[in-house]
This record gives sequence, C-alpha cells and structure tokens, in this order.
Amino acid sequence: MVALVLKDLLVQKKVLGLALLYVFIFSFAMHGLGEHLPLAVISGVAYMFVMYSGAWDDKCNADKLWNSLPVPKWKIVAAKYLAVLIYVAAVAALTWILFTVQPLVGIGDALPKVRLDQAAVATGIVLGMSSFYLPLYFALGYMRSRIFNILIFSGSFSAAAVLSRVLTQRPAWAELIGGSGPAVWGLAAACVVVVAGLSFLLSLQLYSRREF
Amino acid sequence: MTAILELKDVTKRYTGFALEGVSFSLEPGYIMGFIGPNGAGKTTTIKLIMNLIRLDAGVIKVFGLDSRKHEQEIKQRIGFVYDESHFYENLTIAEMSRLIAPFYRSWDWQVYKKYVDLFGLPERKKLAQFSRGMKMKYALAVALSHGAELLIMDEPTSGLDPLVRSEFLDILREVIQDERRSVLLSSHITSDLDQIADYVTLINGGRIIFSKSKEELWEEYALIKGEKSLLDSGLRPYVVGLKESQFGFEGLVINKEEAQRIAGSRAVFERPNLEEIMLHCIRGKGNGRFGA
Repeated sequence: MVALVLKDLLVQKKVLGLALLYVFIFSFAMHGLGEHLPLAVISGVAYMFVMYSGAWDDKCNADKLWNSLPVPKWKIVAAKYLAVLIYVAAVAALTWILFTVQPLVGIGDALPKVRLDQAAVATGIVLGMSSFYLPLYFALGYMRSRIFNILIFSGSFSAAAVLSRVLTQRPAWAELIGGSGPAVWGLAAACVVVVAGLSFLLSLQLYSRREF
Repeated sequence: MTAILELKDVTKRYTGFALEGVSFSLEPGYIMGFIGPNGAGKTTTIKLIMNLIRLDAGVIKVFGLDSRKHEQEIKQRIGFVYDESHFYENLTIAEMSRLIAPFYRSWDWQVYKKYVDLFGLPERKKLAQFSRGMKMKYALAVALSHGAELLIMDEPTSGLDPLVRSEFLDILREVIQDERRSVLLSSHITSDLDQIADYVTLINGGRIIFSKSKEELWEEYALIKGEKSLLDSGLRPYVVGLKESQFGFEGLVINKEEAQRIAGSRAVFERPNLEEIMLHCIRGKGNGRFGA
C-alpha cells in the first residue's frame, strides 16, 4: 500500500513542486478570510491533489494496470484515503513555511499565523470532502465523477463562506465553537473517522463492481 | 498433466455482443496463438482471465486454481502485456519499476536489469518519450522479471511497424525458448504466430471455432485450387471456405487426405498459413465470392 501512496506522490511530483506557488495564489485570492485563511488554503490546495491523483490514474488508464497486478482492491482504495492525509500534512507544512517567512520578508500585508488546530480542522475538512468524492470516483472513474468533484469543491467553499458569515453575525456561536473543549474536538474527530470509514467501505464495494 | 490455463463454458454477455461457451486449455511450456478478427472476443476473454471483468457463467482455472477465488496467488505467477501501455507516462521506467516491484514476491532486479539492457531501454527516460515499440518491450521486461510461469499478451504487436514487430517477436521467441514459459498470445496479425505458436485457438463472434495444435491444423487443413466441376464430384462437404470465379475455385478443405483422394490430380493442394485458415473459416462458403 505504501507503494500505491508513493505512486500518487510520484506521478504528481511536478504539481507537488509547484505546491508552494498554489499556496501563494490561494493565499492571495482568499486574503479576505483573515485568521481563517490558513484553514482555507490548506483545505483548498490539499484537495486539489486529491483531484489530480485521480486525473493521472485516469489519463494512463492505470486501473487496468493495478487490477492486473497482484494488488488487492482494498489496498488500491485505502491508498487513496491514506494519501489524503499526506497531502494535508505536506500542504500544511508549506503553508506554515510561507506564512512564517512572509512577515520576515515584509512583502505585502502580514499573513496570519498557522495554528495546529487549523491544520487539524483542515485534515477533517479534506477527509470529509474526499469521503463524499472518492466513492463516486471509484464507482464512475475520474471523468464521469468530475462534475461531482467540482460540485463538492465549490460547495464546500461556499458552505465555509456562509458559515463564516453566520459566525461573524452571531459571536456567541463562534465563541461556543472557539472555546470548545477536548470532548467536542474528540467528537468531531470521531465523526470524521466514522464518515471516512463508511466512505472507504462504500468505495471498496463500488470499486469491486467496476469492470476495466 | 494439469493445464496451466483452462476455460470451460465461459460466458460474458454485453448488449450487442456475447462470449458464449468459450472453452480451451493450454498445457505448460507451450505457446498458444489466440487469433480472430477485431471484435471477435479476444480481449474480452483475456480480461476475463485477468479478472478485469466479471464472468457471467463458466469456469476459468489458472495453474489449476479458480481465477476468482485465488486471484492474488495467480497474478503473482502471471506476466501480462496489453495492446496499450498502462504505465504512467510522466515517470521514468526506473520509477515505474520501483512502484511495481514491491507487489511481486519473486521480483528479481537482476533479471529486470538484464532485460532492460537486452532491449536497450533507457532507464532515465520518461515513458512519454518512449516509442510504442519501446513501451511494449518495457511491458515485456516487467512481465519477465518476476518469474512468471504464464505470459498473457493481448495484441502486443498491433500498431508496431513491421521492423519493430519482427524485433519484438524475435525477443519473444528468444525469451520463451530460454525460459520454457507458457504463453497465450492474442493477435489478429496471424503471421506473428505462424512461426512461434504451438497451439492455435480461433475465435469469431464470441465463439471458439477451433483450438488445436499447429501440427493438427497442417494435417487437417489444405488449400485447394481446381476446376469448379470438381466441387460437385463429392468434394463440397469437405470445403470449409470457398472462393469461386469463372475459371475455377480456390478454398480450404478439412480432412485433407480424403479431399486429396477425391480430387486426385485434378486439383492443386497447398499448405495454408494461419491467415488463410482464419479467413476461410470465418468467411465460409461463398458463391462466386467470399460469403458468410
């Protein structure tokens, strides 16, 4: 399975090399988000890698290759979920580097600090988005699931924008979320794990029915 | 001896096409040419063997094991070369091989290196820069690097120019002779198989027409040319494929010895090649022209 995750990273090495540029562009485009900027940047850029990995597999018709090799289907499916965590970790690290270096260089307005809780929330967001997308990807392939992918991507950011507005209008709610204790965080993490687990099982079921 | 590959009443139905009751077997150490026109069902059969599509009915056994129940074990012992490259074009073959190798228990880097050198494949060049012939050679190198006992090849030579095709076949002949592997090689270019195949299976319209050793085919079939009147002197039942003209006829006869006895010196008999056998068997008996 490590080889399959490595494959996703290797085929995207050029894009990964440009990840810092993507982080910069996203930071510029979403500058208005204030302290929530790192969260949006990490989520947006990391999810792009989820999309790209599917695109590469589709371009090379790689499903036929992997299903001809002695690779169990569950490993092919699990690797895509595992890769999500690696994308988030990599993008979070790059975002932290850029947001830390930028004030030192002194170009443009100072960017907010990247907090660990934001990286954790971004992990949950990207895993959540992927949990909706990946079953469709494994059932339909990249091309036919592309429209859903765009809907999930734009829908998630629209929902985040609406939520941000609502929280601004209702400071009490924001305080409640901001001041939530470990129990709430734990519950949220458990929810993400359960959703991802169910999504994995569904993906496996759907992928097992696919013909290549 | 247990067949290395055995298909029994294999059926797969699609809208507008069906593979019906496909049965044949391949003994260890032999090369089987799997021939038929485009759309005959060769690729569908190979996909079923590789478990890339689901079987509607029938049984496929590889190394005596059920292809579905023992899929992973079987795939450890199979090498495959498809009609198209399914490798990542933006990777070098060194990178691609590093991704594939961990999945094979018996992957041997020395063997891999031997074939990469033998085929003259540049390890640091991206697959996107490879010609089609080079991609096929790379696929063959991968297929041979984990001690595969059965090679499954689906139209590996289609789309290759004659020179590269000939080179690819020479390599194939060499590695097969050296290693004593079994090979199922599908192709609609029958001349590729004339020299290297031990057995030939002809499929058309999703049904097996015959599955025989090449010796059996040479013994049973013959090309015949003669006057049309000869056809009505008891020869017609032996004619498999027929092309008539105003001067006479030419065709393919089965039961060569009996046909020679009937025709005597009034007809010319020749040994057919695989293409002629395939064409006559598929086109059948026409009336003044090839017909169904």
